[in-house]
Amino acid sequence: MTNYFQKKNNQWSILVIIILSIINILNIVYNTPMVPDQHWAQKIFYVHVPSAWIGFLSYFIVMISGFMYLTSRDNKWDNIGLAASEIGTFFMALVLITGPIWATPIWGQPWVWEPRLVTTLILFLIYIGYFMIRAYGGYIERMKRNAAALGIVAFINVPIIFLSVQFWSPEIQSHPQVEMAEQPSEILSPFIFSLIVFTMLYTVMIRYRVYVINLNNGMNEDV
Amino acid sequence: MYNFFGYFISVYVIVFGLIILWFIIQFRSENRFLLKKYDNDKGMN
Repeated sequence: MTNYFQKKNNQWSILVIIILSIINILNIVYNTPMVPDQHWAQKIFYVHVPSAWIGFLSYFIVMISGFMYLTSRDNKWDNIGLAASEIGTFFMALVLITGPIWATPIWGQPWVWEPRLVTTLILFLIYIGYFMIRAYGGYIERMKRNAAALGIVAFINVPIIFLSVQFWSPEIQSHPQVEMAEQPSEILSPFIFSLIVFTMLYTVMIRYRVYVINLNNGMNEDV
Repeated sequence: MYNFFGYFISVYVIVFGLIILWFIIQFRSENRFLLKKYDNDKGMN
């Protein structure tokens, strides 16, 4: 009977994440440049975009888990898919909260019905449907199959969100059509560091969540 | 004129606050499940 964080390697991983997150925040506060038009508000970028990246990465894992579950019928993949869908939706919710906060001083309003925002909202709502299937899907094996299939289909929306600034005409876009690689290095380097820290945080979160789900299912596997 | 710093700080408090809250919720669920498992195991013996 042991807690997840009683194991030495899990303790080290969370300790490293805490230290890197503190370094990341200090780096963003002190080492990133102030963009004249946005001032402090521009620094929201360093957590808003990595949150979106984690959401998309997580939904990619849901898709892979869905394929694996449908081909192998192994509950391990269903548990991974569930954990990834929960954490992905958690980060997509963060994107939908932080986006309007950032947009308020920059666009003058929290929400604009433009392609990227609408497609992101649609993805979030699809995953609300995913959780409804999991909660009210009836017979458990059928529910897991349906959830896996929805997880695969839902991922189609991710490249649409990513490419939405190019798909639709520029007149209806509010997001800047600037390539990330075109950003100056003093913005790009801390952004990539933030992206790495968030990805490492995500690996700890998904491992921990899978452990808790396994515990709940009474199949306490060694993590 | 917008208070840019206010928007910045509110985003960071929300993001990292909710991540910490997520870990607290997982930790509490884990303890509850472990306790339940312990009770079940004890009941079997």
